[in-house]
Amino acid sequence: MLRTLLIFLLLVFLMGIWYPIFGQQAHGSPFTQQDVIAYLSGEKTASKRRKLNARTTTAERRIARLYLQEWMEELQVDAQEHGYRQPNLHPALDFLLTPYKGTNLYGILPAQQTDAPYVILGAHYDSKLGCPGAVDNASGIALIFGVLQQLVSLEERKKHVMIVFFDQEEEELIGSTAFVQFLKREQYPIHSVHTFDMVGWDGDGNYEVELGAPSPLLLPLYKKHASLFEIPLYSIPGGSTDYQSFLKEGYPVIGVNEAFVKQDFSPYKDTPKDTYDTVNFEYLQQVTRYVTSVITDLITSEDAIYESN
Amino acid sequence: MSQINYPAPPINWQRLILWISLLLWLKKGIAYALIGRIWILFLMILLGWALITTYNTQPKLHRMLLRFWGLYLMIWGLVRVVLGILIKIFPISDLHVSQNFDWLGNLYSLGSLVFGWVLFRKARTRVNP
Repeated sequence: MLRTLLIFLLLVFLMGIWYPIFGQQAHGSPFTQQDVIAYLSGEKTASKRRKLNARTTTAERRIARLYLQEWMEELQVDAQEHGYRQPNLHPALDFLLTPYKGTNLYGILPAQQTDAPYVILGAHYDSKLGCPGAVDNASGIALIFGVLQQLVSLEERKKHVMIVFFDQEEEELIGSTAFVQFLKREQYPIHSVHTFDMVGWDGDGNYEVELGAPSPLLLPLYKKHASLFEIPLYSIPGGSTDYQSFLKEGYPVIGVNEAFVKQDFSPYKDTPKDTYDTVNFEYLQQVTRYVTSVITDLITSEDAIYESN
Repeated sequence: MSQINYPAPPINWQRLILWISLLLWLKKGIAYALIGRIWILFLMILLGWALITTYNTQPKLHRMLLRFWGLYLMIWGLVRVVLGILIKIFPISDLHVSQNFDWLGNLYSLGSLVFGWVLFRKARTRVNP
């Protein structure tokens, strides 16, 4: 009797692992930005896969990664996991707590030349506890996929494009901090880092974009293309999202966000109301067209390589 | 011929608890050392070395070390139990912290409290580490 019960419990446990991992694929190709936000914020759910009410717990983040992986592979970009452990922010906390543990997901769209530098496009995929995170930050991920869909069809790329989806941004930028260490360890020659966080809200309808800590190397390029798309821009020196982890190590960065400092950002940020139906897709698509134009210009031209420290 | 059954030697709980607690903390020390924080591992090696060297030569110091380790485990467990209760009453959005105080984490804290108490109380006799 006891043995039967144990076997039954073991089967239930194995099914619990199997179910979210090997559930059916999310969708048929091609996917849209709406699909990306819908699946990541729990508006849609792939059959046999658990609904994502948030992307916070280990299980939720694993399911989110499976979606991202499938979409990357649909675009012929080989998705790779970067698992990491990071110490706590203060050494004294190490005595009380376990290390942070998470997984970034990245993939490379190669250039023609293998020794070409890398342009990094990054967005975090986690969300706050109990928050669907449609704007924060499924919108940033949807932007990257929108750009990537155009970049894969380019005939010539003079720079590699590295797509990164960071884990644990909501927990003191732990995922991007670990990824910077990984890049330095592996000695990737990095041209520049572009991160996208919250690009799905435009309350006043003026398509304004905030540029976080823009590098002098990148700002003129972003300004040039903004005038083509009639997008008002403004820059801020600081900010508290993933580009900060790269900035600290001296990489040329730029953060692209909705007009956060000017208070034109999603009022549902970090709440359970940050849902699919609050996303301004018109704004997202316009910013995606703009960023696609910037990145296309950047990777089809040749300029100086930034050597990491 | 009849066989003589010898009674099994009694379990030395104090030694067992000391070993388990040292190994768990050694594991923690190694985990942190691998990501660049060596303090815990350094202190564990120091404690282990001190316990071994004082066992035969300085029994008083050895007992003092055991009481210190027991006290440390108790304080560690108590702080975590209190934090665990506070987090249950006032939930926080920081997942990393709240995951450290799930049921397994709280069980671990309680275990440490009990282990510490046993070591602290029984440190009147020497334990060979």
